[in-house]
Amino acid sequence: MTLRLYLLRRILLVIPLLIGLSLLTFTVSRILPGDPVGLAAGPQATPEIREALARQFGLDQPLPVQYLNYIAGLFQGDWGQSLYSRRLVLDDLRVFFPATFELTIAAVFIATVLGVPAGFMSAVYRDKLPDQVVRVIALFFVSFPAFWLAMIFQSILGVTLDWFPIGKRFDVLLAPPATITGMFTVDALLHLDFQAFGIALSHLATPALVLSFGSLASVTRITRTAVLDALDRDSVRMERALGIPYRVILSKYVLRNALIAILTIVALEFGWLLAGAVLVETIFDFPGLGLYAVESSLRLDFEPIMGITILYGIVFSLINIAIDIAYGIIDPRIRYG
Amino acid sequence: MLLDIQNLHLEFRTFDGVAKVLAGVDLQMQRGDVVGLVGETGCGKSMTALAIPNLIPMPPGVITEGRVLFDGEDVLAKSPAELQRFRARHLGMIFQDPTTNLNPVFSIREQLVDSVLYQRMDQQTVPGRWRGWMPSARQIRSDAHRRAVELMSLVGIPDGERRIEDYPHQFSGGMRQRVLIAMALAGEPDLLIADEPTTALDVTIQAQILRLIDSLVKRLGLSVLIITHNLGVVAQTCQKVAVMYAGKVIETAPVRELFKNPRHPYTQGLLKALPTSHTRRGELEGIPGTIPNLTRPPEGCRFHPRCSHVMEVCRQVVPPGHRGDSDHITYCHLYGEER
Ligand SMILES: Nc1ncnc2c1ncn2[C@@H]1O[C@H](COP(=O)(O)OP(=O)(O)O)[C@@H](O)[C@H]1O
Ligand SMILES: [Mg+2]
Repeated sequence: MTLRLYLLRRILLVIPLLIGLSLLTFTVSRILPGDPVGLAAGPQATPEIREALARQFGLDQPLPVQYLNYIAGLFQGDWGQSLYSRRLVLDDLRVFFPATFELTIAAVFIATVLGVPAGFMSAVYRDKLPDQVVRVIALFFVSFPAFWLAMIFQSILGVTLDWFPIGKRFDVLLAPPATITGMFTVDALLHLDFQAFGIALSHLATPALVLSFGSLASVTRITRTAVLDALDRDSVRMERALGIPYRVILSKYVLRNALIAILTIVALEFGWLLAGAVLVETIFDFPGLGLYAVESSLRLDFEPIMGITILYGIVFSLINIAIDIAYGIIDPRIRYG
Repeated sequence: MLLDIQNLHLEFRTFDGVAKVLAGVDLQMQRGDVVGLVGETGCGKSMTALAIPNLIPMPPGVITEGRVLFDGEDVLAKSPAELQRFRARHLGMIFQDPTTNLNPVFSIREQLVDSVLYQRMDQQTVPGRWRGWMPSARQIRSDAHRRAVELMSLVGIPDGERRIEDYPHQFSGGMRQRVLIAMALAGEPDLLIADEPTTALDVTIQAQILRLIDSLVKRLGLSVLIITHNLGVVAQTCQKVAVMYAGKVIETAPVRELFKNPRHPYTQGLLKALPTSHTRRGELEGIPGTIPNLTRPPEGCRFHPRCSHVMEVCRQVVPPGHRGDSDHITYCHLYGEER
């Protein structure tokens, strides 16, 4: 099968997945106890106002009809509206998703740039001093609670050293770069506005660092295991017997053999962090998708919850497809089919 | 003397205890020799072979005694950089399983061209990828590529020009072993070490690979150390043979001499068991008992518990080598003192 056919099939398969996902989220959010209309209408609202509001959002209809209406809207590009703020869900997602996406990419970047070399070195110097040091540090990061590390780093980097600003995505007194992607650092670079880039980056630095910690430990550990496995191959002994320098064996042959496992963990961590940025967004008051999701859930604000879920579904599917393509590039034995 | 392994002792120190895997291996080869190293599985053939390029995994392995001299130089005393050059320039080695010994995610071209580049020139002059665009680097790489294709035809892979772009999984087992032989020969080595090169292959393919090694010996004047547990392979390809038992070479002789006139009781049993050289695992027809546990090996001659000619001295003293006529050395008390 050609790559294009394979891709087409994979993308088409995302649709049933999204339908299942949306059905599940819809059901769960509707059977939860609570009074979303009351919350949205406010404590003083009369029964008439509440009824009008319910009618306006179609909440007076039977549940299956509500669901079908929602899906029908989705296919026309209508992601619904917040009961609470009356803002369009799509508009909110356009603002919050790029923020979390940017934060997650930065965190995964840090975890990869530090974790892969650390894990690699750890494996090459197995049981020697560098390995011990790396393992102790990794243990440190996994054994302390994330929120505690977050607050420690916030106070050190943000207050004691005063290197980075605390909270928000940009200087509150300035306008962020005009939106292209919604990711401030990227937009600043696209406008060649390096001052804005610096400001956005400095706001991103501490939360991204803190967010990366959990992944840093797993990326390091998985890289170490993958490199140990790769070093254990017969082909490495063959390459050494051939007289290929060890430096070349490591940087070329072993690295490529370990790459599939490394790539998988990095992509997985990307997914985890994207979904798990809530804690960091809360502590750093970083307006992203996580905060938006939490607020919407607390208010049982149906359509934002649905929108967030579906967006996550799409992103996770795309990540999976991207990994599969990468596998095929790294390992010629893998055929698409 | 091309290769002179003297009194090599190797231990593996693991949680299960200390296994005395090699106990005084002696093995000599002259330039141009084709020597077969035979013995049952687990007797230390592979470890003896791996000692030559100094590739025994250490830890857990520890060499407690002995020397490995190659062209008079002590291999075990070389620095890592010297070792790498030594392996590149003087040795070629192939192993049992051609599937796992090739790297599956690189094309044959990558692996074969690297073999040519690093075996034929100083590693500093090998153009790295970042210099790949420079004219000199391209010249070097295209020379190496041409040489790689030549090597493929040398080892009998048809249509090398095209097939060099393929990946290992696109080759059959026999063809993969040929590729590995090509890689091992890229630096025109003085000695080719082949550790059970045909064991993992189909019978018909086995014969083809042996014929290939034969023809390389004739065409290139190669010296070869072939490791096998199959005496038939020895009879077909070697001039000399060394028989190992439980970590020691117990008899060496020219092939015909050994088949005609085996002297060590173990060798005699081994030949009696032909053509099926082993029937059940660890038990040879004609020799009762099994190979010893190497963590608690027998004192004296390690074969004595199974030997029908056992004497009192065998239980206490490791037998010295006895040189009979025509290069026939036997490590057995039946033949008395050295010389
Ligand atoms: N890495 C290792 N750790 C412990 N023991 C080993 C290791 N490698 C080999 N051995 C032991 O060394 C002995 C000789 O092995 P080997 O040279 O591979 O035998 P052969 O090639 O003759 O079949 C065997 O008893 C084996 O169990
Ligand atoms: Mg072996």
